[in-house]
Amino acid sequence: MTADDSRAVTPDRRSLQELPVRRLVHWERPALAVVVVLVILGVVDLMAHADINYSFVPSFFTSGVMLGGALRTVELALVAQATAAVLGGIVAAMRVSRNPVASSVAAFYTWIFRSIPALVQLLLWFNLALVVKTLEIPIPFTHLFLFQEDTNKVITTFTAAWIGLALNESAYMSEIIRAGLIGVDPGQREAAHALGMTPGQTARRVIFPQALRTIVPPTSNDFINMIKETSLASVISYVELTEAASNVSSANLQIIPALFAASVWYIILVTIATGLQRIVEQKVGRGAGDQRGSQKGFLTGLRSALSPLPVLSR
Amino acid sequence: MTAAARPVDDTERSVSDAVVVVSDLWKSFGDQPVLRGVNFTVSKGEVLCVLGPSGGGKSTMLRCVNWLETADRGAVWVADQRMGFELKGNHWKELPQRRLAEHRRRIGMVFQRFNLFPHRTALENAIEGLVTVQGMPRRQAEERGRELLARVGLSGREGAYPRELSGGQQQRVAIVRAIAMDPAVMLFDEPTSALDPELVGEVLQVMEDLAEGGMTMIVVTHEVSFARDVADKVIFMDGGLVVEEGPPDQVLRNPTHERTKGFLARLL
Repeated sequence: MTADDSRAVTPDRRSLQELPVRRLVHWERPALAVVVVLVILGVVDLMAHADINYSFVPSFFTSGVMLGGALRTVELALVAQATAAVLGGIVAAMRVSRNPVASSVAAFYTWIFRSIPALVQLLLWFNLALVVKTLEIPIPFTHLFLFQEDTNKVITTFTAAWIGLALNESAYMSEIIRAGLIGVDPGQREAAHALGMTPGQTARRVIFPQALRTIVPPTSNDFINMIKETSLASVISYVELTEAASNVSSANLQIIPALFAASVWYIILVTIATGLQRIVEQKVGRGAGDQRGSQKGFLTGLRSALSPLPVLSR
Repeated sequence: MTAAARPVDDTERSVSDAVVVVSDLWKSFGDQPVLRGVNFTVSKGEVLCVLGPSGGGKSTMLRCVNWLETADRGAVWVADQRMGFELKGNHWKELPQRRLAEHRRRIGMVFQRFNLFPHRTALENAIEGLVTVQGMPRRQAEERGRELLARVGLSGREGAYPRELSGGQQQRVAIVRAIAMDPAVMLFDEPTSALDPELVGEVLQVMEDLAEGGMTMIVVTHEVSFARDVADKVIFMDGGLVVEEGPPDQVLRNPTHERTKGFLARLL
């Protein structure tokens, strides 16, 4: 609109324009608030009238068994995710390599380990001793063994859970890392090669730091999933949080309070992981202008993780 | 000049001060021939400009010089070393990437789209080769990096990330990144084609300064005036062949081939 346009408005229109304006009223906003309050009241009512003995929740929450379970959940999630990241990295590198053997082996690996449910894998590994009595690595042309051990000694509930979860997750990690690798501009590799960098230097200094930007968010997502997926290990009696909840309640049958206590622990662990995710994302986002969705510092990260709760978000 | 193959011969290779010798280079992408027997020589301190229409094989030829692209036939010699191969008794052994990387260290390259490392600052880009490839101590490399950035007019921008720099500034950083390695020859692949018109001059100026400083250069470009003013030799490529070759005055003012005439008529 220029000054000319406003002069073109006739006096007639000018006076009509002076009439008051009635703005849109957003009825849907208070209406939604009412619905939300009603739903919350309903849930609170249900929980208040349900036969739940809440006094058990805090004592379960801080009981030694639950603390140990929380610790084992964190431990298992960390080692399984770390192992999966390493395996996934190797498989991704094979998948994008120009070696047809490597890339088809990698494709097969991803296919097979994404196909078998994590729970089934856990059970398979846990029951390995049924079909293989001893695990051994023979030294060729001798009668010696580099490694020889009773399967039952090697496959504990922990190692079975670790192997099962790590192999399952490694298939997903390989796809995440592959996506990160192929997302880096091919010109970056050329520039590195033109500088005289070896393939190793190119990967370490140029490709990987840039791929990390796209690798970190889905990996954090998977890690958060992993924290909860460790509960699968309860079926082979590994005492992580879920199994701990079941154990502490076995004496007095207060199953729901025990599961509530476990849930609070899961929420706390996931909240911490979400906060860490923001920090890592900021670290790897160097030189990238687009910081949308990422936050500064741990506390803001924590707060943004809590942002669905309106009371805590401001 | 025809596509006839000139044999790789040692007398040509050892021509006194030849830094780059491209000898009978052939290359196809699938069944699409891109280079059909390219030959030329660049002597020490010489600036060679490569002109020609798009799709004529200029960029592919340039990428073959540092063996980013491997030729199907023929050889590239840089400072008396055959790119990508090693003489083993009576045969040439193809080198793995790791060894090829050593051959590339004496060649600097500047790309049309800059290809700076976006996660590193201007100074870090400038010294990446010195630190990672040459193993120079970081402090010493930074000193040299600052000095070179200052020489191309980028003092005070050392800490800027590529996305915070204009195209012309990015390309100047890219030139510094390459010359920091003290290369025997610099390759420029249409270095000003991705720049806004008002930024072209600052990059060409840096290149002209380099040429005056005695740098051996191969420049693929559409900037005819740069070729006229700075080049010692101009070659015109079309259809995967060097169609015309000579001093800029001759090639640009009195082209003998129809294709060169037609191309220049459209440009000027």
